[in-house]
Formats: sequence, structure tokens, C-alpha cells
Amino acid sequence: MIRHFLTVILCILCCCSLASGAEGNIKGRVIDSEHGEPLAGVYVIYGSNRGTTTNDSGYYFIADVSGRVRVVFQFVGYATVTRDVTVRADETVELDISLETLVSEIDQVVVSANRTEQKVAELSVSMSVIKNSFLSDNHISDARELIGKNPGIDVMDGQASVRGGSGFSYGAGSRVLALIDGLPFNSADAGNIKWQFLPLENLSRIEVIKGASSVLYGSSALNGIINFRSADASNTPVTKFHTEAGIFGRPRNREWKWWNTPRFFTNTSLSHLQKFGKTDIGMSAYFMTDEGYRRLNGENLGRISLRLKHFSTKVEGLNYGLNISAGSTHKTDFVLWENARTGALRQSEATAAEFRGNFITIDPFISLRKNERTRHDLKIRFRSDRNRLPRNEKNNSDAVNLYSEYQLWCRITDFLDITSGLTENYSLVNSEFFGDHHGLNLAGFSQVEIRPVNRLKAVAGLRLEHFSLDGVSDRLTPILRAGINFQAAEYTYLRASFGQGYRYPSIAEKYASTTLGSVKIIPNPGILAEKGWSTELGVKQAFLLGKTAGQADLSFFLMQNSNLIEFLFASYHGEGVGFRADNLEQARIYGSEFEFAFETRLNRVNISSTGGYAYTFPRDISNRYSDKIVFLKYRRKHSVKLYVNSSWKSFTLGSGLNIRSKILNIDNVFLEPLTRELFLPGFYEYWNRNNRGHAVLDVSAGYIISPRLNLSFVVKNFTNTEYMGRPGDIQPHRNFSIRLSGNL
Amino acid sequence: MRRTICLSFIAIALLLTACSKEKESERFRLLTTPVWVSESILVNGVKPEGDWDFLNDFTGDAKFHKDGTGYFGSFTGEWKFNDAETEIIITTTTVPIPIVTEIIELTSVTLKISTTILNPQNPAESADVIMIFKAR
Repeated sequence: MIRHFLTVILCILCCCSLASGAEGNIKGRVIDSEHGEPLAGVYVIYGSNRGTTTNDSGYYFIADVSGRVRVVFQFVGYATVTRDVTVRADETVELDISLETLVSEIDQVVVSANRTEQKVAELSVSMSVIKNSFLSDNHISDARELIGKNPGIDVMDGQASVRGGSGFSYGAGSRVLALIDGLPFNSADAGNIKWQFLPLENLSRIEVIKGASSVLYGSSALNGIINFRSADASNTPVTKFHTEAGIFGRPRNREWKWWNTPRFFTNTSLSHLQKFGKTDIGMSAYFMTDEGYRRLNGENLGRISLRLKHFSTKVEGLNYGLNISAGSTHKTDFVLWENARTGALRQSEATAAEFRGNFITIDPFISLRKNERTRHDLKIRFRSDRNRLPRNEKNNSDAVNLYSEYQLWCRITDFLDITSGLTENYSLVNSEFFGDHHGLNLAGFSQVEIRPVNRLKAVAGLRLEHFSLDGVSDRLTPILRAGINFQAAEYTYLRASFGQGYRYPSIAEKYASTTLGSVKIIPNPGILAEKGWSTELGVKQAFLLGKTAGQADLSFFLMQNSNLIEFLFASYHGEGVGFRADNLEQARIYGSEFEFAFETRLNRVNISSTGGYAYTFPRDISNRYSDKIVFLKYRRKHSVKLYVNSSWKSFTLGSGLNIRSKILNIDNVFLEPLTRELFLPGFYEYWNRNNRGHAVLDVSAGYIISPRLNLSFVVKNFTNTEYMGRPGDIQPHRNFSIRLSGNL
Repeated sequence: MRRTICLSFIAIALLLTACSKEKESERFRLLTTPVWVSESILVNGVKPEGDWDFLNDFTGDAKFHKDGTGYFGSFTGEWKFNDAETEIIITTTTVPIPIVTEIIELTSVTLKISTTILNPQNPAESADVIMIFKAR
């Protein structure tokens, strides 16, 4: 019986073998339709769920198939392509495929949310993506201005606030972490973002996560992250340039005009991306001169960057390289106005702080991807900052920062990915202003992503972080995050997430000790780390209605933070009167946010629009026994942002509208009768009269001279609205700029 | 539909889990429970007089209400802890800027705080002030 059974099995195997020998093959190459680049890791699925992937050169090979075979090519960020081919015995069919990138907003591939590539619609957290084109359309060359135009984000005197998570911190610390290609960019001394040094040339996009992101990015990501992603070189060399000149008009309040000759600003940039064999090269330079609309508030700035990336020919999946950025600025910061009546755009010599700053970052990296199931990444950033205040040399500071991270991504099974990593961040600060300090931050994180059923993704992550300053260790901090995303319909995605965050106080908040004009800054080495969490529910819906394609996103969020650090002007034991940072606020902020983006065509006019509305209810809950509602300082309830661009033949027309409601609360020092006149003469009356919210309209017009050359004209603050950021910080009035940009 | 309901359920559970209630701290309870009676006020180690005479208005009863209001001798105003509860920040309508006092001792029977106060007649001059209260 057994012998008969084995004979039958043997016969079947022989038949299969014979049949196999009579089958054919399919081979080919998959490339990007736009740039002609080979695409590695494309899923090539055929038969009954059999499959392979393309190699680094984009080639694939399917063996032993015959008859009519359906082949499906799938790759994140590209439209899926299906081809039916007929394969005869002993024949090899060649099938080359060009994949087209998906233009739909929800199909954009982002990396910041989970540290791996993922479609933006499939995330469990809120993310806004700012495209590179937004910069040139709106004549933006400063990252601060760019970020402030995003729905739900406000930037007050350099302090970024996501959904009301931050107020005004007098230039120290940041609850939002800035990253360049995933590496932190906040300064080691003040912990703030030096916006002017963030390169906007050669960018592919900017990804903004709204909500606590400390599990993956550590301290400072309490309120969110902003990741500036560099563009990769393609087979076609790309050289871009722009040169811009502008002039400030007259302020609405004619008595504020203090200049006799016009106030100009100019900036110019040049960038180049090219592939030389297996090596990508990117370089850029930017220079800017701004005379400033305020007295003693001009700036000269330059920044350059170089990006090298080499793909190994010997080891498949290996690439390595080096990024270098450097910058220099010479400016005078505006601190306090002279008076509200005639001197709001002037500051006195006593408070004017001349500043000369230089920085350089050197970032070597190496990455190894194996079998589409494992990826190792090692990134290092060396950063050096040199800050000089010629008129107040005791406030000089030097900071050196060495950051390194190793990350391992594994696809354990088709439904389970694990991302783990280790980070180290060493800082050394030498300063009379802050004192000499050294800090070491060590962390490990791990995140699991599972896809238990079709259309459902769930992530859960844990981070352990240890921080020591001057050899004194803080306690080990464990934090968690979790989230889910469910594709409820073809273009409908539901999401929910919870994430914890924390922020160690910056060296400036702990140790800054100086006098700025009449203002004394008192150190407080005892302040604690800020901590909190955020959670949200959201839905993202894409739509295609006739010639209109776009997406809308609605989210409801709640965040709660404690130990929030703020500077309080008071009388302190043993120190006297001045500003000192302390853990004073506990915040609960809830609200909702609506964002949209769409493109349409009316007759022969192409129209694109983005925008959104954010509502926040930012409450200070440090006194839970009081029924009195105390709002967090420097927050607003409502904000609307709307941008429309249109093009017809060689002409473009655009506008941007930014509406904000009033600031709900500010520091008492600016309201109390004795102190308010000491710092900002005339502010109190001005505040009572003008803190009512504002609407600012920008307009733009352009002409495409040739396919490679574009001329555009922008009027910012077209309505010449008079409005204020933090107390005493009058924002730019109407200004005009003309820009010539090209793509060689 | 069933999946959508499940998803919503999980999301709401996440939200509710996140909204945990905080407990009242021991130091908060110690400070707000009694009416405090001032036992002594010392300015640079001596009783207030001359320019510092106004500090005698702090003598008498002091009460720190749970809702953040209170009275401190003849002054009324607001108070709050810093988050570490090592300091009390007192804001009154009489003194122009908040006074941050360091808590030296806080028990059920004794409250001892210290601060630095500017001389209102000569803002360039300041003095260290120590106040001791006993629970009534």
C-alpha cells in the first residue's frame, strides 16, 4: 500500500518537473516615469499571490510561468500597474514598467511619523505636509514664516506653537522639535530653533506632526515636530536659482514711520542636484540682507549646504554619505519698543542686542537595506554654534553638540514591523551668560506596527530616556505612544492616537543670568522637566468630483501638560526682582482642526487651494479648585488660513489669508500699573484698544517668461493690517517684493 | 460598520484612559487647611521699621483658600504653588509685582517662608524677609 502511494507521489512530482521545464519566464525593469530612475523594492505579484521584488537597479525576474499571467506592480507612493502577458514554453518575456507617482494628497509618502516610509493617509497621527512649491509661490525664504502659514500652527517671536501647545518663552526652549532629515536642529544652549539657519533650498517637503512625538524623537518633541526633508538627486541634473528684492511701504500709523530713505530687503539662492553614476550630489547657497522695518533690527545672513550620497556597487542596498551645512548671521534683535505712540517701530540703543552667530553641522550617515525586510541606519550630527554679542560680551556663548542614532527596521512578517533605535546626544556649552555646562542624553526606543487585518494598522511604541547635566543624573523617563488607522472606505481613513511627551529644560532656562537693558534674568537650576500627553481622533477623506481632486482632514484633539515652564517677573528670595523660569503652568487644551487641499480646473484655469481652521480652548488648570477660567498665556482660540493659487497660460495669480482671533492672556508684568510702563511704555492702552484679532491678506502675481524662467510679484500684508505678536512686537506692515526664479 | 464601531470604542477608551484624575498633594492640604496666624516677620533679621514698616500689614491671620485666593494680614490676593510645590507665589493688589516665597518649613502647625522684597521708597534697595506662621 505504502509502495503504491509513494509511486503515485513520485509520478506527480515527475509530472510537475516536466511541466516546469516547459514553462517560461518574465523579466524586466521598473523605473520612475518622471525621472527614469530605477525603483528598488517594488512588489511584483503574479499568479496566486506569488511574488518577488525589484533589486537595487530596478530589475526583477519571474521564473517558471506559462500561459496568460497577470502581473501586478505595487510600490508605496506610486500608482499600481497591472499587466496581462502571455508566456509560451521556454520563452522569456520582457516587461519593462514605468510607475507614475500618485499626485493625490493622501498618497504622499512621509517618513516622520513612524521613522519609516508610509502613506500620509495611513498614519495614526495628524500630519501636515508643506510642499516645496509653497515657498516660491509666496516668496518665503524664512522657515519661521513658512511654518506660521500652516493651519493650527502659530509662531510667536520664534516660538512655534502647535495647536496652542506653546506660548511665548522669551527665546528660551521650544516644545516643538525641528529636524533636518530626521536629525534634531534645536540649539544646545537655549534649546530654541534658529530658524534663519534652516535651509529651505533643495528641500523636497516639510512634514509637521501635530502632537506629542517624544517616543520617537525624545525631549523637545512635547508639542510636535517639524522635519525638513532634503530632495534627492535624479538622473536629470536640476539647477535652481532665485533673486528677490523688496521694499517696505508705510505703516498704517503714519506716526510710526521713522525712516527717511526706503527700507529694502534682498535675498538670493542657488541650488544644484545631480547624480554622477552611483553618487548623488546636492549643494545650495542662500544670502539675505534685510534693512528691517524697525529701527535697529536689520540682518545680514548667509547659509550653504553640501549633500553627498553614494550607493555602493559592491554591497547591495548599502548607501552612505555626508551632509554639511553652515551659516552666519549678523543682526540686531528687536526686544522692546520705545513707546506706543511714535516709537513702536523703534527701539532704544539700551535694549538693542547686536548679534553675530555662526554654525556648522557635519552629518555622516550610512544605511543598509537587505531583502526589503531589514534596514540599518546610522546617523551622526556634529554641530557647533558660536554666538557673539559685541556690545555685551559677557553674554557670548559657544555650544558643541554631538548627536548619533542607530535605527533598525525589521519586517518580521507581512503583518508585523518593528522599528528600534538608540540615540545619544552630548552637549557642551561655554558661556558667561549660561555658565559652562555639559549634558548627556541617552535613549532607546522601540515601536511595533501591526496590520492584523486588511485596512487596519496599529502602532505602539516605548521610549526610555536618561538625561544628565554636569554629571547629575535625572531619573529614567519611560514614555509610551499608541495609535490605530483604519481605512473605512476607498478614500476614507479613520485614526486615533495617544502619545506622551516631555522636555528637559534648556540650559538657558536653568542657568541664564544676565541683564538686558533694565531687565534682570535670574537663573533657576531647580526647574523640572515638562511632561504631558496628547490624544486625538481624526478622519481623512480624499475626493474626486469631476475635475476637482483633493482631500479634507478633520481632527479632535486633547492635550494635557504639566510642569510647563514660563518666565515670571517677580521678587525672588535671595535674587531680587527680575524674570526667572519656573514650572508654573498646567495646561489642558482641547479643540478641533479642519484642513483641506484641492486642485481643480475651470475652463483653462488651473486652481489649487490649501487651508484650514483651528479651534483651541487653552486652559491653565494649575488651580483645579477655582471655577474661574484662566487661559494659557499667548494663545488664541481661532485661526483660519486660506491659500489659493491659479494659473492661466503663462500667468499666475495667488492670495493668502491669515485670520487670527485675539490673544487670550499675557504676562501680568505687561498689565500691572507699576511694571507695564517700565518695559513697554504705552503698551497697556495699545493692548486694550487693539487686541481684537486680525486678518492679513497677501497677494501674488507671476508671469512664466519661459519654461525655465519665472517672474513674480508679491504684496505681503496687502491690507496693511497693524497687528502684534508678543507684547511690543509689531509685525511687518505692507511690503512689496519682486522675484526672478529659474530652473536651469 | 462593525469595525468602525470597534474602532470608535477603542479610541474613546484611549481618551478616557488618558483623562486620569489627579490627587490633592500633601503640601497643598497642609497649606490650605488651617488659618495661619503670623508669629514673626523679620527683615534682614530684625523687626520691620522705617521704609519696611508696610510689611507689618502682613501680620494677623492668613488663609490660603483652595481656589487660589486668600488673605495675608490686611492684604487680599491670589496665591499658587510652583509645580514642585517648593515655592508660593503671592500676588496682591497692594504689592505691584508677585512675591515668590521659598517654603522653608511647612507642617500642620508651622509655616515658615522667606523672600526678597524691594524697598518701595528706594527700589535699588532690597531686603530678605522671613515670615513665621502658626496654625490656629
